[in-house]
Amino acid sequence: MSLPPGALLYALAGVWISVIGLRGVLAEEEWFRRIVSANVMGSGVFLLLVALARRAPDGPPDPVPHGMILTGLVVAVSATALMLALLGFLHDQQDGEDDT
Amino acid sequence: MIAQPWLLSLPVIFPLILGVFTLLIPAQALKAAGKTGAVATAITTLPPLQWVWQAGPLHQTLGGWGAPLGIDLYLDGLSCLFLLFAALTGVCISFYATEYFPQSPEGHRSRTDLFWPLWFVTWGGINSLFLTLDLFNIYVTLELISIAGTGLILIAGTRGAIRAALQYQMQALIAGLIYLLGVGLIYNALGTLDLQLIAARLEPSPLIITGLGLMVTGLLIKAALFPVHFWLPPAHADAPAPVSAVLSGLVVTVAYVIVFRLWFAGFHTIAPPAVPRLMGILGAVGIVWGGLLALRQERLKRILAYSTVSQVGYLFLVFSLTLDRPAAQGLVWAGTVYMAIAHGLAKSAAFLAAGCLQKTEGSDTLTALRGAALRQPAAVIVLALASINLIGLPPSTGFIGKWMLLKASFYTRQWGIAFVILGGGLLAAAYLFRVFEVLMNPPAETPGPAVRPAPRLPLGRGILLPAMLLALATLIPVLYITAPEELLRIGAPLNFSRFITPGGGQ
Repeated sequence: MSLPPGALLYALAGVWISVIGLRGVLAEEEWFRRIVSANVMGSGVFLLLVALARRAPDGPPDPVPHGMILTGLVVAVSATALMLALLGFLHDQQDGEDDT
Repeated sequence: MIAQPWLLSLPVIFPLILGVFTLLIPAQALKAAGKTGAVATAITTLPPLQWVWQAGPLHQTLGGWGAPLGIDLYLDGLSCLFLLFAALTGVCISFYATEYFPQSPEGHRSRTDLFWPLWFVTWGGINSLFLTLDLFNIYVTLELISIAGTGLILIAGTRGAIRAALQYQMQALIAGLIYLLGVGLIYNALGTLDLQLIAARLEPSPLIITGLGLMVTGLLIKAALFPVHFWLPPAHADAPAPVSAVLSGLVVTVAYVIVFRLWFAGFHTIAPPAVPRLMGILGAVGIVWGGLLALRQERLKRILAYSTVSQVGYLFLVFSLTLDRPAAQGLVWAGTVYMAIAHGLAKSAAFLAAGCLQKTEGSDTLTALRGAALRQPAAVIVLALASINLIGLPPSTGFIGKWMLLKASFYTRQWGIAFVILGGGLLAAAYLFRVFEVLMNPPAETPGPAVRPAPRLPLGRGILLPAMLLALATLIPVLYITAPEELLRIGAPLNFSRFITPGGGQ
């Protein structure tokens, strides 16, 4: 791996953030917290990919990982929206059951 | 050599177009569109198959952009077999679904109508995954299938289904991110996303091995290998029956096939031997664990879902079995592919039959199903035919696959694995015979012929025909077993050397 020192710092931070997020997904009990954790993990992964895109100290960054991140963001946002909607459904149903 | 290589993209594009189309047309036309669309999709897979059979692996660059920048489609014997498998299963599930879901009232779209767009998008994704060699394309398509799969589970509309869908989407997102991380590392190390180029450039560096490990881990979650199978039973058991068949029969198989392809494209040469051994051990534990839990379930669809956890385990024995003796590779590969296809067909058939029983008897709990064989003999016969495969009795495809794996485990002297293969068959027999014991015996305390005379929800005639066809298809290949094996050899499972040399890999 030939990363410039600055990029390496970001890469390691990305790894660390994604591990924190993954821990949250596995350890948290509440679904809302798990969804947020999944997004934290996503941010970590994307940060790492951004860092990996800078291959040389000068010179332009590689655009392919950027394309991957953009797609990944779209997937993460849609999945998050879907999960939040499902959580909302469950919540509403719960309220309904409590009322009756 | 090939007149129209663009035809290779039809099995992907056509179902995707159908997905949009079925979203737009009025609900009254959906069933006809579903049937014709399914048959047409199946037909699109046939011409490429013929070319591969005659001329060897097929290759097409999309939009004039070749690898390393663009996306290539690649078709060899392995993808052919699985495309055919998906086509057969897809048509049968579609015909079943037209009878299973009630017709919407005039001018109104109900939730069950969403089955069609979601299912066709899933089918397109499945075909695309069998054809692609681009690591990032695999990521996008897997996520597409996952989101569509979540929607499919939700069609059930129950609280349990919503919970299951939430769990399903969460595992898919996390597995996808882990896989993507691995892709990023591999790209950084090798500068390409194309599997053929990657296979040619592989070297055992820590970065590449980490990337590989992450990619495989993400895929293992999606393929529901023990111990990351926890999301599968609720999702597959709480979904409507046609959706259970799609998820258990097709989607799990697809995730597995990608692991298989990645692994034997060259990763097996650089991975530390502990990794394939571990995958084999997890597979073996999964066989036993899934079987034991299936024994303890009280709902038929739950039993079938845990059976999937168990059957997926067999597919992961391949990584351990090919480790020491490369000579056994052909045997193990063929056995594994047979197992995968046998399970996909049989499990789809079993879920479709279970769906009929659930609808006519009002529930799929074993108590409700007591004596159902007297009331629904056809559904129980389909379930029995599927069980022959799941247990691995001759003359089923499941038996052939299991026999090959068993032979390979003797050949490589992996006695533990041989023991698990045999024991897993016994376990499957145990949890399935438990079901049949209940189905065949009417309740003792309420004698008399008419315990529940009329089905509660009469289903259309012929709903079981597709399920029967699927179950019977698993019993046929024994008649001409050499054809699939020959097909599998085209492209010499995943050995790209033959392909790369003439044109130059770069």
